Amino acid sequence: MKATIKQIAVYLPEKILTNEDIEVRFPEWSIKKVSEKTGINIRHHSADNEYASDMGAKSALKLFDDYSIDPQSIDFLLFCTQSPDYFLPTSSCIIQDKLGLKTSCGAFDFNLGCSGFIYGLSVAKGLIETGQAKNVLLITSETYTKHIHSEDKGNLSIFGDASTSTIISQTENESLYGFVFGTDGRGFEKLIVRNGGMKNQKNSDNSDQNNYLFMNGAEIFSFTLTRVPELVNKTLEKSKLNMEDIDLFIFHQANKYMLESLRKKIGIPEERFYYFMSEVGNTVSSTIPIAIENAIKENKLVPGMKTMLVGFGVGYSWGACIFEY
Amino acid sequence: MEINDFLRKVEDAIDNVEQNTLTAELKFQTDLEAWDSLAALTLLAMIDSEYNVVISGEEITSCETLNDLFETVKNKSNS
Repeated sequence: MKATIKQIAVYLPEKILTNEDIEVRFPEWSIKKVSEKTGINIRHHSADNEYASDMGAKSALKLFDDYSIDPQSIDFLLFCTQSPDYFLPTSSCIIQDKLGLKTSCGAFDFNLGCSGFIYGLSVAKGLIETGQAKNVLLITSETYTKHIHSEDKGNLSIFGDASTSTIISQTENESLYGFVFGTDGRGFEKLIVRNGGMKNQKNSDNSDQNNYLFMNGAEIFSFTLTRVPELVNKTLEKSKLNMEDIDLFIFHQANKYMLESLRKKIGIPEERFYYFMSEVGNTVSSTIPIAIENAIKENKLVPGMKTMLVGFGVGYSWGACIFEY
Repeated sequence: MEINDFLRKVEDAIDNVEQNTLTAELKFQTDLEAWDSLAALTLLAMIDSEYNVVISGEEITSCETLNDLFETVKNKSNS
């Protein structure tokens, strides 16, 4: 028995931040010039009283609704977030209750950012192909915008909140394979919220940058230029495929400039490289499932195609795999 | 590798910089008006695509002048 992605649903919070909004707030800054580079025009922001588990439950309910899925058929829940509701309990336990999943369902959270969807797929595949679960619900949900300082125009221009729900179920033929992973904790301080965990408590000083999201864009960019090309090559090698065998490359949608630099460096033709960030921004672990869902809607991803899914970022952490749709 | 060629490529890469305006002695992080975090990214991308060298953000910030940066790239491409 093999595992495959069955369906994906996306939840985007109602509140949006447009380029025009940013222009009004930061008139001295040329958001037009910036958005030409980032490829991002709209970002969604979670409501003040809306948290990762709320958004996760919303994307899951949408999935159940859109595809008439019986919540009782889910026997494992994986929840990927770096913005959990509480230190404890585990957010996925809260979501199990919100969704009315059966109590025989396994559930746990894992803390990863832009590489999270790939890791979730890998765990789901393991659970299914070893007969431990039949239908795994993988939820990604992130509220990075709550971590961003109100004056941090750079990060405000890039990140958006979102949640996705993906069902991974049994199938006949190999569909998810060639997984390659990587970790380099030397980069841990390059994208970080320093305060708020056990080590450094959050304080009420809003001029203390350590209370907020910090990203060293140049270092992250340098990391991706080094790691992502070799990640793509290793994934091809592991799956015994050539560049030409891949019908569509779906990368973590960090920003357009970075993706375009990577695409050119790796030598992927534009028509086989998928972009989807203009209306959502960088939604961390949700960018890849959002892109898959939209590629299917736009008929750019059709059954029989081979895609390479590539995630990379905060940690540093990275991972990639082949998904045959 | 030649410094003048490098300077012309830097001019090409960074927005709002005219051709033939940059000098090797320019302290780009303090004295270049167009310098910002986005300029750092475009510089990284240019150096990667033109010289096949990935330099880190730290390596950029540790350089004072464009000549320092040129030397960093040169050393890395020879190693």
